[in-house]
Amino acid sequence: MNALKKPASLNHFLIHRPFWSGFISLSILFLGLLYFNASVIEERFFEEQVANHNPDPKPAFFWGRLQSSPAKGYFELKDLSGGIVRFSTTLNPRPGRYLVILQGYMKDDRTVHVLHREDHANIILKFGASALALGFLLWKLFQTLNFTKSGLQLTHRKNI
Amino acid sequence: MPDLLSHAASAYLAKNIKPKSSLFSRRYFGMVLFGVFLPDIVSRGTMALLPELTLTAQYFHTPIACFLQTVLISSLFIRKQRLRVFQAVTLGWILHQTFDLAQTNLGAGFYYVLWPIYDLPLRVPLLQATDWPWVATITVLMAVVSEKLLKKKKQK
Repeated sequence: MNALKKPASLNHFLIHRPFWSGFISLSILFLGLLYFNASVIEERFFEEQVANHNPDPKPAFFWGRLQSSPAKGYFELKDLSGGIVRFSTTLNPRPGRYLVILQGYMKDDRTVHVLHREDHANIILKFGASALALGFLLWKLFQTLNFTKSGLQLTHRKNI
Repeated sequence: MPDLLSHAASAYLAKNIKPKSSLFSRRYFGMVLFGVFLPDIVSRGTMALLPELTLTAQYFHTPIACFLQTVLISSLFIRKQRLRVFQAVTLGWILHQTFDLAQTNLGAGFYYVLWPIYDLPLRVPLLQATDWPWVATITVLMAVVSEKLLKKKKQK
C-alpha cells in the first residue's frame, strides 16, 4: 500500500511542515548567497572594479556617483573598490546629483577615455517614487495582515 | 530596474486583466503586491543603504532566491492560507522579473535570471533604464484607466 502512496510534494511539505520548509529554505538561501558571491560577484568585482585601477587599453565599465574633480576640466566618480575614475567631458553635468555609468579605458595618465556614457540624472526621484510605492505596500499590508497564535493571517480589517 | 511605482502598477494591470482570479481578491492582492516588490527589497535597499554590498545583494533578485524567500515567508502564515500566499507572492515576483528583463542600461546589468545554470546577467533590451519616468507614467496611467474601466463594467 505504501508503494502506491502519493509522493510528498512541495505544497504538501509547505502546508504540513512549515517549520522545516522555512528552516530549509533559509539555510539554502544563506548557502546560495555564499555561492553566488564566490561564483559570480568576486570575478565581476575584479573585472569591473579592481582591474580598473591600472591603465588598460581594454574597454571596461565604471559606475558611481558623479563628483567634481580637483583637476580642472575633469569629473570623477568613486567606484565600489574605492578607485577614482577621472574623465573629461565637453558636456557640463551637475556633480553630486546622479549615478553615471561609463564605458571606456584607462589611459597612461590615469584618466579614462570615455567611449559611452549614461547619466541616471533622476536617481533621487526614482528612489523617491519607489519609497512612495513602498509606503503604499505597507499600508495595504496593514489593512490585511494580522498576527495570530497559529501564524500570520490575511483578513481585511473591515471583516474583523 | 523600473521603479517600484511601475512594478506596483504592473500588478494592478495584471489584476485588471484577470479580475476573477482568487489571487487578486482583496485578501490576497496585498501579497501579490508584496511579491512584486520582493526582488528589490534587499537588492535595491542595499544599493541605497550599504552601497559596498550592492553586487553581492543582487543575489536576492535572482529567481532562485525569490523562490526561497517566498517559501520562507509563506511558512509564517496560517495553514489554510499558506499555499495561496505562496502562489500570490510567486506571481508577484514573476511579474517583477518579466518587467525588469525588458529594461536595459549601459554595462552588464544585474539580472542573473538563470543563475546558477548560467552565470551571466540577461535582458531583452526593449526599454532604456534612463527612460524610467516615461515608463512609470505610462504604466501608472494604464493601471488607473484599467481600474476605472473595470469599475464601470462592474456597475453595469
